[in-house]
Amino acid sequence: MAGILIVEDDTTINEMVARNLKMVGHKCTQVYDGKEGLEMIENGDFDLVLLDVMLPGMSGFEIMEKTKDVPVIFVTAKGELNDKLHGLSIGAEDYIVKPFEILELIARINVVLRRAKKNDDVFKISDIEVNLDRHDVFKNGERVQLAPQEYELLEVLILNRNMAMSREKLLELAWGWDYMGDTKTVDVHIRKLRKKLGLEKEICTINKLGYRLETD
Amino acid sequence: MKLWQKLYVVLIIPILLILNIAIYLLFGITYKENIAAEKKQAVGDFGMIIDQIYGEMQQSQLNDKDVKNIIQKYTNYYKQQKIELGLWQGEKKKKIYYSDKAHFNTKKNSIKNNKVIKCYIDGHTRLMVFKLQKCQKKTFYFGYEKTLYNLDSMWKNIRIYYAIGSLVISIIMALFMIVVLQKCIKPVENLNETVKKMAGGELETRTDIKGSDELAVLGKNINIMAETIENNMKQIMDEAERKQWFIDNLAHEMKTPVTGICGFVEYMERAKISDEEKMECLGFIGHEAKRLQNMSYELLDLAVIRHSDIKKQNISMNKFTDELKKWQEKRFAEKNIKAEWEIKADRLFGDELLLEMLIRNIFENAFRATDEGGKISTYVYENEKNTVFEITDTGCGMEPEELEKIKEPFYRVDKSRSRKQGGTGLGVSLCQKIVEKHEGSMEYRSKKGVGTTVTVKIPL
Repeated sequence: MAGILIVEDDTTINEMVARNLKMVGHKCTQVYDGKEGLEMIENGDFDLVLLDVMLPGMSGFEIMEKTKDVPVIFVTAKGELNDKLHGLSIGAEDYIVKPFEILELIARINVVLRRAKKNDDVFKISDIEVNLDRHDVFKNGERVQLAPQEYELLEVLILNRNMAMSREKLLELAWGWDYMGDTKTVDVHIRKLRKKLGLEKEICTINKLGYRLETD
Repeated sequence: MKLWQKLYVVLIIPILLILNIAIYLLFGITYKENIAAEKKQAVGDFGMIIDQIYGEMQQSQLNDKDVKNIIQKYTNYYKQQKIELGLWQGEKKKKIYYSDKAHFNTKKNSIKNNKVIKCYIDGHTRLMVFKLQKCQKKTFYFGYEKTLYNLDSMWKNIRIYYAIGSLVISIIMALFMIVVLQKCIKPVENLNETVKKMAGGELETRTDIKGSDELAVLGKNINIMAETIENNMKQIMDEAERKQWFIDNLAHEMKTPVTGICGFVEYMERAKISDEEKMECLGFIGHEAKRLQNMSYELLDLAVIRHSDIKKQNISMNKFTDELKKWQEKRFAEKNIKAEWEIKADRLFGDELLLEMLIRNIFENAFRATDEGGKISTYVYENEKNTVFEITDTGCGMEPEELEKIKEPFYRVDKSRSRKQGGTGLGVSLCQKIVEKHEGSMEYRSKKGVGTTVTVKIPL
């Protein structure tokens, strides 16, 4: 979970991003204006800033040049190569072009947070504790042995919690595209995870959509 | 084969032929004249000689010996002058005397009285004349042969000179013609080069052929053509650029609502959310969908207007303004904006629906720019040429730089505010197109913080 500032003038997009990020466990602050955004960055203490480029008041690029510490991801409709190169060259961690898939945004945010060591190391649910840094899993204080594939699947569920994901997506995110198996493997591993961790209630099967790790 | 080579072959051969033939003929004539002169001379000389011999023969006995002596005397004398004499007697032409050097034998049969014959014997040109002369009742035939040594050697030299001269002149002519032709054809090559460059894309190149002959005129015309093409190209490229920009903007404008809609749909599908929150999400989706709808309507309008011909007719000003007033009542009430009207015209000529759309669009923009409690006044009047609509609002106004750009499609002065109100940035574009179709004009005047006035002129 991280504190994320969303600077985007389009209300709909701003809301959409905020709600999704909140769902997977981050804390969001929303501003709709360039000047306000800069103020927030200077006075606040955020782990990550999602910055639109075309803002009223001040452009995203201008704001970037005035803030050096906070990790920034550009989220914008300006998709030309020049824009991307410019954004990255002035110090952004990443550059995403609209329209984008929300899961991709979440994944990239996680990458940046991990790089900046601003993501939570530990995740707790029910009586399970997972150390995301060291890949250790504890149940009631006692270590649980998970096969690498099982752990990878668990991690994906945790990082995208409260979001239903299809078997194909889980397969892709956990084990990569070239995994030579079919989606039945996902079902098998889910069953194993549920059993080993006692998370039958938390790891839910969503009809027609896939699986979801639910937190309160 | 190149042009100058073609011309060259076609010209040089006849020229040289004619030249040489002319020279040849000229020489020929001169030679003939020479011969004629010699012949005349010969006849004269012969006549004189015969007179002398005859005189002597009259005095003598006319026996064979005497006659022979006389003729021998003259023969020897005239030998130096390259003249041979001969004498025959009687009808049978019995030879009396002539020297071995003479060639009378060969021509004896063609003896004609007093006619000079020219012949070529033993490498030299010789003239021969014969004459019949009676003396003391006896018939004598005299023969005269002159060898034209001088003439021959002169003409031998002349022939050599002729040959050399002809050759030299021909060569000079040939070379001269090459140079002249190449020089004349050079402008054509020049033009060729220039046109090649133009064809290769360098439309700025121009020819510079001086003079006033056909090639120079051609050059000037090619320049004019290049100018025209360059301008047209520029226009076409500008138009294409503008179209591309429009499409880019359109794509961009559509991306955002689409992102919003898709994003929320995905969220609603996957996330664990309450029914209440689902309703909120639907609200956002609906708002973006409406935006897309507005955009598509306006684009459609733009497309239709662009392509169709409008039908103009007389419009009843009362009916027209009544419709607009009705619309204003509904819309302006939302922000408590006052509408004022001053109508001093009754004529309006154009497409009723389009003009209504035009004025309504202007009202809509004025409405959006004006705050709670503001005022929008409309002044309609006529002059000799147009019906004029002047619409003034007390809204936020625009800076000069912004004013310049409003006619561009998708341009919005305040993006977020416009988006909230469902604006697409196409309104002014649309108005502009409608005005153009009516051959009228539309002008904006604005002061930041005070308001904006739009003046629309529609021809009567």
